[in-house]
Amino acid sequence: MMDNSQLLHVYSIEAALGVLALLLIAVDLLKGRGRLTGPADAVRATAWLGLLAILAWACRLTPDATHAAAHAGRAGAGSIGAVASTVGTLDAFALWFKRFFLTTALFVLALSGPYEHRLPAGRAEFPTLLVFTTLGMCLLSSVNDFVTLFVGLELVTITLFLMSAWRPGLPRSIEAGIKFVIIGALAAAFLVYGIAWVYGATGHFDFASVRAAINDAGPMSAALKLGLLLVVVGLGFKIGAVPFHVWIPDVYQGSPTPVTAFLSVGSKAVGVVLLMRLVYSVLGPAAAAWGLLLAGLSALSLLMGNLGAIPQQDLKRFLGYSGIAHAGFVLMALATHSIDGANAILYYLAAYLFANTGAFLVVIVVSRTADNSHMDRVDGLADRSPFLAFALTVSMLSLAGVPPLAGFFAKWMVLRAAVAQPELLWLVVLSGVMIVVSLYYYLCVIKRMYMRPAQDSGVLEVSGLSRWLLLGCVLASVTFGLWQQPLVELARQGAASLF
Amino acid sequence: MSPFQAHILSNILLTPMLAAVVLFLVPAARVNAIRAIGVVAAAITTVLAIWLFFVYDRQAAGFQFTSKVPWVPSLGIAYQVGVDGISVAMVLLTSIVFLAGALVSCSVQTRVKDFYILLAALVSGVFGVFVSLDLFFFYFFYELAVVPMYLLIGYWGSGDKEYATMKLTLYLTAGAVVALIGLLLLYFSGLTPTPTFDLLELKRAVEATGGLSLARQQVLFPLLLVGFATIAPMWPLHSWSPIGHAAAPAAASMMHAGVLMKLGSYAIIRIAMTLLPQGAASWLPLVAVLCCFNIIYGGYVAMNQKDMKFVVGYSSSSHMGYVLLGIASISVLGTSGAVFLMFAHGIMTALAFALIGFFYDQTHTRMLGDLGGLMEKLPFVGVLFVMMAMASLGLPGFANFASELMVLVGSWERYPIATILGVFGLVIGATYLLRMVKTAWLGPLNPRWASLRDASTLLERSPFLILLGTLLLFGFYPLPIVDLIQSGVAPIVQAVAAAQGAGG
Repeated sequence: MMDNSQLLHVYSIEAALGVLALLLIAVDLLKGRGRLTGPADAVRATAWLGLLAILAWACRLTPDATHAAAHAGRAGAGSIGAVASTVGTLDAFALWFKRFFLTTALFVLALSGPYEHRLPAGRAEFPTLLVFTTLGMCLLSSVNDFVTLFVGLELVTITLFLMSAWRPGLPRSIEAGIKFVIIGALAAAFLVYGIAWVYGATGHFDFASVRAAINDAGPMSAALKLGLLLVVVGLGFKIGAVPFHVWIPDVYQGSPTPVTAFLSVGSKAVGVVLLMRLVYSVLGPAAAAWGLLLAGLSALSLLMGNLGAIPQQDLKRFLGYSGIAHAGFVLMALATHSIDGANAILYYLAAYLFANTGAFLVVIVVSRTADNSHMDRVDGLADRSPFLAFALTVSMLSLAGVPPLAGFFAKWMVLRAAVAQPELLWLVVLSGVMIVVSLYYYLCVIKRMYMRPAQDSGVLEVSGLSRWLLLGCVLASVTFGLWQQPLVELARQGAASLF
Repeated sequence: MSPFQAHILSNILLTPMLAAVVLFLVPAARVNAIRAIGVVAAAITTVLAIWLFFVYDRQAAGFQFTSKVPWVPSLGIAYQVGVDGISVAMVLLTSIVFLAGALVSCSVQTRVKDFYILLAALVSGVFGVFVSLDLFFFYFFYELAVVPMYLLIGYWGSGDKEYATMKLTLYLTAGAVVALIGLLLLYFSGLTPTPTFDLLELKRAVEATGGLSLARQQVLFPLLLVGFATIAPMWPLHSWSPIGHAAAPAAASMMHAGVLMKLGSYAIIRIAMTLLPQGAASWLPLVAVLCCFNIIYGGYVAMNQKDMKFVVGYSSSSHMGYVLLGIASISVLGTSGAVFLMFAHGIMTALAFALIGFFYDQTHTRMLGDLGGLMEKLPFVGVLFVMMAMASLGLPGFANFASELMVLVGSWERYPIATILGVFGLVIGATYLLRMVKTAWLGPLNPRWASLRDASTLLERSPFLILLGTLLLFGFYPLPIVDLIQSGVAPIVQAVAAAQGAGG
């Protein structure tokens, strides 16, 4: 059994996030006292400080060796008795994702700044819900059993339901919220049903025991296979892999843009972290048999995402389809079932975070006056604001995988991991074709910015914070594209702790 | 060696990169400062490249000035640079074209800052390819060289520029991806005990063990060939090239036809032939067939063009046919001629595009039918154009003559039919070049062009003179560069020839 101090040790970040969320509610309640300039500003400021402090704390934490050690012991002994922790793990992998989610939350908070005046009400509650979502995401990074997995996932999903329907005056936003609720409930149903089958087949909820049941007891039973398949389906909705992607375009388009950014980066990464746990921690050696399934999902996502992105006329839908395509790349790396593949996924997500944040920030700024995100909003952007055009160009090129940007190295790592597996060669060829296709539609956005006359001559205001964030995203994309070693090493530690 | 000398290649590589960073920080309104930075950066690289040309030890041959910094050890990546005779010639070519391009671009009036940043980024990529001895960085720089061209053509170009630039970028990226898959397969092929991207280590492994099995070489070589030949450009993968040239602004066309296309042939020699000699021996005869299409078909299409840039564009793919023929000849003479022709054609075609760009800025048309008698108003540019045309059609005294002769003599033994077609191609070349000279420059002056202005200042004339001077210098005294190139080509070609002898 695990005592409380150990629990607090594993989940210190989650505890801090919980305290922060309650604090934000308390600050909001103080609005009548007249001591604070405005409740929303005070809540926002508290959220900033709190998240920054927690991120600093997360960066100071060192991963536990226990998991890896237990793992090594298990590999040697061939039994799973040595696993100490049943409630959660704080391995390098979990820590990488906790830092990732906290950074994402900070970025989304920064994105919601320039968007705030478009929110009719609930400006103070928005950061609070954001912190709750982040709490769920961080919890899922450490998850080590199916029950916590379900609880954490519901925490993430329900708060995101609320945030995606944050603009009740806008039919699109309501539509997004409803679609998201229905599809989310469907995904959750798949997941919980799958978990039930897994439990029925093995008698366990915790990953280590399920892993033992899978790998030690001969061929997998049909019930167990069905259960795991249903869990994969449930998580497939999260990462937006084809054929579970149908909700993405509408929800992305209708949600407030900062929420879309959160969905596209944070929510997708939640699916990725859980799939990685499922493949590496639960399936373990048995995952080799699942490679074809993952490769198939990857191929479909690559095709659908890339071909679907071409005709899009709305920037947010466009980024949604591009996100489906990127899910395809992540699945391709996952299908390799190698440490190089896991390493590539972690790097890929980091590159994707910076590129997507930059892109959504530009979308927020250019769609301010007309309050829509039609593609023609970026027409002639190079004349209206060279800096914004440059930042969006860097984002698009990083997503397309052009050197010297982080996205190039990320794609390169995925391809390197996949080429090492001869049975995935067909997928490598497909992804190669799709890289060229994706370059086409990303270049089309750049073409609009540099080679089309502007539709709108209104002044584009970029506030100080947004400017710094955008600059930071550009610099991060360039830095991690040129000097990859530190991030690769960090990602490698995270990946290694899974094996 | 002094530290400066030891890092000469990194200095050449970093100069344009640094220039791009500095240009970022200069306010866009300070146009003259921006131009000056661009030109000075180009001049520095040219001085360094000339110095490299003289200090490279031709007797010792092999890779020199190498330096290696581990970059991502866990993935087998190291920053490693070094040059042999082939690369030195290519670095010299790049720097001269860069200098001329930076000077010519002083006529760019819109978004000057962005233009020079992109030009510097493109040149960094090209230098990177020519000096990299690590397959990862080779590919990194290769891609880096391709993408800036998209904006250079798309924004500053002319004609059907959006279509042209998209086609160019997608074609070249598609080729690059094919090559990347080939490179990664090579990386995992078990050539070295632990996979590495280190070209020198791979090369040593090939020399020590005889390389991969014949079957694998025969699979991998076409992947690299198709990937790199797209940019070379080998028929039938060439169709991006003429329209790309035609749409690009002067400096971009110069870089593009002058240098970028050479990346393909260079990569075939540097990587595919070096690491897969048996694959090369099996597949190069096919190249010898395809390059005849380049020479004859490209030349024939050039004869029928009305736009001068299209004439030069198709003539470039025709000339690249000779380069490919030289590479396919598997003879030291022919392949050295190919590399020398890459150099000579790079300079010559850069001169052609610079001259066309000069009068296009004033006439806004390049249609042969609209021009005529320009010599009367533009005597300086006109005379240089005629000399360029003479160089291009292979008049003795220009570097092109010497190099084409080497190619044809080198290929005669192995491919007599292709060589005869190649000689015939020279006649086609003479036809379209002389027709262009006649129609545009001679005859009565079209009254529309009565107010044209010739290149009068030293600044305007200098890029043309630099390029023409280089052509004449190496035309009359080709020995230093031929020696240099042969020192690099000989070991590679001999290995392929040996593989062919062994393979039957």
